[in-house]
Amino acid sequence: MNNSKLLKIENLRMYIDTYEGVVKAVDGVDLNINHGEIVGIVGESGSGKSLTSRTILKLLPEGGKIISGKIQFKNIDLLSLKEKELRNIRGSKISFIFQNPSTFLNPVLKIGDQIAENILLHQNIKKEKIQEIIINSLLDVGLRNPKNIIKSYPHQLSGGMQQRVMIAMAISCKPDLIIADECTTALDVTTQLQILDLLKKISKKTNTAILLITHNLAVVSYLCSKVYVMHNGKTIESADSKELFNNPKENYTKSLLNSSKQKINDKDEKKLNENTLIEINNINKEFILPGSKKLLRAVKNVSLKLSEGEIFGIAGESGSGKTTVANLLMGLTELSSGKIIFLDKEIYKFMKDDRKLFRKNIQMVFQDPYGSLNPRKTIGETLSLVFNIHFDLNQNDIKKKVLDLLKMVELSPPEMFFDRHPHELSGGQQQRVAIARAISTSPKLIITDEAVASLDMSIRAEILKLLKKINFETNVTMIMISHDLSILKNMCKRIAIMYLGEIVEIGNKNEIFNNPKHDYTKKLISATLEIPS
Amino acid sequence: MTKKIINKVNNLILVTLVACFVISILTTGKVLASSKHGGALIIGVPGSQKNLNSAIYPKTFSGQLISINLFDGLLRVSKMGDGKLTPMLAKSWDVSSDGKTITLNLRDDVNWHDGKKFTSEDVKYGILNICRPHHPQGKNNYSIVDSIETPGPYKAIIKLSKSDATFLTKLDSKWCSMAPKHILEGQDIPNSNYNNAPIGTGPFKFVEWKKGNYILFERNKDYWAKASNGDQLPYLDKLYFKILPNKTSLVSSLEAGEIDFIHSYPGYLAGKEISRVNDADNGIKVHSFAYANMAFDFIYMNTKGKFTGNKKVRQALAHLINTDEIIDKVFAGVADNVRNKDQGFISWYTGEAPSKYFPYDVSKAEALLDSAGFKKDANGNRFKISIIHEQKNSNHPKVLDIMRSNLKAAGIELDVMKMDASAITEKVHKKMDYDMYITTIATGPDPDLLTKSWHSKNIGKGWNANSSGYNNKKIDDLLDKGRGELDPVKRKQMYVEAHQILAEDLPMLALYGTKWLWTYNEKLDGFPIGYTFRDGLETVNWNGDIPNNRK
Amino acid sequence: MIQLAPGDAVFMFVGESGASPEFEAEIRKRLGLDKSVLEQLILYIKGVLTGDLGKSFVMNESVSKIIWDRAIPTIILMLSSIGFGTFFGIIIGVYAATKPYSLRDNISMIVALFLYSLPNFWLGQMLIIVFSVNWGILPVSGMESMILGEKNFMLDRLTHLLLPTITLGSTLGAFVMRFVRASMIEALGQDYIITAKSKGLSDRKIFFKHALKNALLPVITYIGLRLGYMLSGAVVIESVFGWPGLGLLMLDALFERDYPLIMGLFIVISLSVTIITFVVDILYTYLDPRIRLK
Repeated sequence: MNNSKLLKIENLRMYIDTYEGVVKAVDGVDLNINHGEIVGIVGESGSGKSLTSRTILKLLPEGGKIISGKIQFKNIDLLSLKEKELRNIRGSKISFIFQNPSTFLNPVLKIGDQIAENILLHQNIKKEKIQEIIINSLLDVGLRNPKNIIKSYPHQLSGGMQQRVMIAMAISCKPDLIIADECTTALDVTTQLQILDLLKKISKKTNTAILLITHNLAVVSYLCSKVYVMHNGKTIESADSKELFNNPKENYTKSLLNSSKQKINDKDEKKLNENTLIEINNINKEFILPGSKKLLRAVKNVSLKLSEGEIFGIAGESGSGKTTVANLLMGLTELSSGKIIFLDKEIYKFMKDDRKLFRKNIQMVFQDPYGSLNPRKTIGETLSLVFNIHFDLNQNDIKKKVLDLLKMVELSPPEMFFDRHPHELSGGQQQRVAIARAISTSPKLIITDEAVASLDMSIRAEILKLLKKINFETNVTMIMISHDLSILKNMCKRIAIMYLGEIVEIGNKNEIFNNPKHDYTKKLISATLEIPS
Repeated sequence: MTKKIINKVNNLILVTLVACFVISILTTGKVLASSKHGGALIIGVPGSQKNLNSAIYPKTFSGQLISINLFDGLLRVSKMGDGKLTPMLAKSWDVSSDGKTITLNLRDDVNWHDGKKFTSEDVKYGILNICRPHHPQGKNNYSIVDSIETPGPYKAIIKLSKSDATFLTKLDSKWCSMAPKHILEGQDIPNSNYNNAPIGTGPFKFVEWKKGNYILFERNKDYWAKASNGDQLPYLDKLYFKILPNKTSLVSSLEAGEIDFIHSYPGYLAGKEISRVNDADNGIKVHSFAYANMAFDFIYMNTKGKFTGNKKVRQALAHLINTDEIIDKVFAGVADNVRNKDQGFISWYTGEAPSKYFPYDVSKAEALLDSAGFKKDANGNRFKISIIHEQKNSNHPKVLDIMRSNLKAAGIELDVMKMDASAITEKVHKKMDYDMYITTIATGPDPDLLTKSWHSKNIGKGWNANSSGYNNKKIDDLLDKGRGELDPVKRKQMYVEAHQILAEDLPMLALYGTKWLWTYNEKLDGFPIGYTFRDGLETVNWNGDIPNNRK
Repeated sequence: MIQLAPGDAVFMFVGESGASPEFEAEIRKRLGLDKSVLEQLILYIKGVLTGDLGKSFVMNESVSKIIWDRAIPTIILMLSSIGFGTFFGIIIGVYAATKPYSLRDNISMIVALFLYSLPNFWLGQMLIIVFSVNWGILPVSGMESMILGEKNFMLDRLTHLLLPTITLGSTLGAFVMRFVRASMIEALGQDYIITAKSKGLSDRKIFFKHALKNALLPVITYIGLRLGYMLSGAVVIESVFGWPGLGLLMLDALFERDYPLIMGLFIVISLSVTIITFVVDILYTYLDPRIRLK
């Protein structure tokens, strides 16, 4: 391995002029990358890690200005280059892979054209040969049938395939450095692992350096040899990967590690009574796909039994049918066959007979809290509405109840949050409001659908803790739906693994993790990255 | 020396050649200029036409202007009010002493556009089978025709059931354009394709009609009429009627030289548009002027109305309107005040003004209103009265502005209402649910027109009939008798008497005589200005100076 | 509905000089107006269902033939106006979007605001006065010179087309301008623009290849929606410029209370707007790969 310096950043500062004043987005970053090395930057959202990576090639946001610093790429001073010279480096010497391939690929251009564009721009290659190069790079990233992919549009590919296309685009000019910005965050765990392995392989094969930017410590530990921790626009700590995980120096790094490990005290696990709250009996759900008239069996022969007060986990990748199960439980779609008994009543009949009572007893928390809150209403108004519908109370009592709720979900001081609008709150605070709304009716069952997936590690841990607390205090039954086994492992006693609409395995979590029986379960567990401890 | 001589000779030859050249150019120019014939004329017309058959419904003024060029009447009636008749297809005529037999001697040199001869059979068929059943006024005009005899191809005898002094005027092309029997016989006339591409005997032949775009006629080489100087008519080779519904565009087209001529009825173009044309100096000299015609702006007063039902109120209103101010401010002086001379209806015929009239005089008006019981209240107001005007007329709103302030002086509030023609028909002419209504009416050529407006049998009979609801037995009687009287002196006496009564009763107030505006390129000559109803363009010519884009 | 408006077809038919009552009654019978409104309606619907739009009261021809004859000038005018408006709208819209809130952007947007708040007929008349009356370089009105002389036929048609096109197209252009600008600015804020930048593409390429293609998709639907408005604009424009199309015909028909023609025009115009909207939708699915029908 060539250990010579590839990229050296010293004291980089990039500030952004906004209407609300100057934002010190990048405020003192030092970074070194050697040839062929895989380096990670970790940090929570807002830490400036993405902007740092874009500043390297002066891809600045509106109003962004480089205040100071030096960026040395090989023997070139990047900051002194003119726009035109920078364009020669972008895409050819340094290329990017972005977080969300579905928005970062142009939806109206064919895949082939988008890759070809890059090659034509930087390499003097005849148009006839270009097809071959594209096909090769698609094959390199493990895409079968590249000829079809060239002709398709981004939306025709799955998320994993799209990300592979992005990588193919990034490696098409054989760059020295690939900057991968949260490139696996939007993917399923199994796909994530494949992509990470692919990057590793590419780096080894072509001696390409990779700068991996992520909030996921597990990903960093899996891939990187060196890690930088960013906080408030600064690189606060850097170390060898193993060194950092075993022996973090900075307090911030320590807290980050702790919250990522998500150790939640198991000791006060309470005894469950044996009352069955909900019984799912061999249910099926079929859709007819619009256009193709194909029958899609989204849920196949699923049976479950939940006791009162239990926290039950459903794991599976996107398309496994776990969200459809949630929708069936909420009575949002009708069953094709089978039966769900909730509080001794057939669920669909229950909903039809007494919709209000039904809604009062089943509540849901979604992944995107902002989308589920009315942006024009204050938090107080949103929460009061629930009491207006379900309880007969006067305005003062309602306000008192709402304030109690806010206290319960640890939003303090509650009086201040009462008058705020959703957009004034952070993602974690919004999710707390969503949880407050869910528990406001004192339901018997709460379903959380990827409720923490879009949150930063430290906030994620806090929300999970809150859910556990609520379960403990109110004895509400919870069904947690997630693609992330590590979350369920910490939260649930029993877990069901769903795959292609079926429950392939169900049981006590220790049993499943220690002794998985189904192949898919094994695959899922092995793909789940963990921080070494 | 020799060289010099040679040079001189050369120069001489050169000069001679140049001179010959110049002369030849000048003379050829002269040769062309000596004839007035040739060239095309483009006429702007303000609306799309419905059909071109002058014999069945010359619906609009511009339609009349267009289609009349394809047709001839039997004779021509002077518009000037003298009742003078001139020959057209009939070279002479006799009226029997009882007035019931009219003998027409027809020209024998007239051909239809398709080459067939025009004969007395066409006259008979035309009056009895086309004009009488299909012209909107045919039943009024020709109901007294008992029969038409055709003793020879160029002689027609019309037998009437009773004498009618006005009958000869009804043989003008306005009422009775001659249409060919050999083509129309057996056809469903209102639905015939003939109406879109007629064949007549007129100075121009139909060529093409591009709907909504233009209509094209070409010169009828066999036309029978000659100009007074002996030139074969018509002069022009082609007539284009270009359809331009927007007034401003119409004037702009004239200014830009795209059209040569706008023939507009009174009030269609406002004074400011005309003066814009006259003031512009854009190379093409545009000339506009007006000619007198018996077109008056009247105010109908509803004699059944709450206020106007009172004769004193009508007279007071007449006293209040300052016509001089209106003519001055709205028409820039280009209109005749008919208020103080006479009441306009038929003084062109009687030759004298009625003895009673109501000139502008506010104090007299106030006295009349007081005596009629409409006294001023504490705020100086008497009552509120409304007036309707037609939306297309661009002068009336300004006239009514002045009138509003005139009436205000005596404490009367004027409410001005704008309506379209068909709404006015409904409200004014049929239901008579209005106070006052201002409109333009062309009078002439015979005093019998009073029958339409004032005979009680015509109350509520439609457009500009007796819409005042005026009912006076004496007038009915005079008008009935006047129509049948053949002695011109006695007849005139009857109308003078009727005129006196109407001028005092004021079912309608004549304000001023408007003028038809003929706006055209000054290079043009020979417009048949103000002579007859038949404003055909056969005498119009470029006077030998045809612009390049009209050749 | 039109029959409820004051005024009477028979009156319009016989004209301002008036007619005898017998004559009116006869006309009424011939036009079928002596029957009750309901009867007339039933007869009419029967006709329409069999593809017969009836016969014009006034013009002595079948409604479908009249409309067909007059549709072509309107189609020509519409197409050229759409072309004009779209072309300049896109060019200026993109130009403005390259630097939002800059001087060029502000000027473009003020021009757009000015253009679409301007009444069409006024703009038309101003153009006539400047280009035709004062400068004499363009014809005032009509679709062709009646006397062609030595002029080239196509050139003559084009010069006649120019002013009405500008007048009718300018409003559309102004709307498209604003729409393209907004949608360009939105497209430029999308993630794939960052991808394009990171590939090292020049600004021009990013604009025209990546942003414009995305930005134009909604514009197409928008233009389809504007078509109805443009047709109503054509009524005014055609009267100002003496353009012998459907707008002028509509004006005439309304003025004459020519019920069969008015109804025929309504049916044809609403049908064509529906069809155009449908075609635009199809076009949209063709242009946007994301919703392309499988």
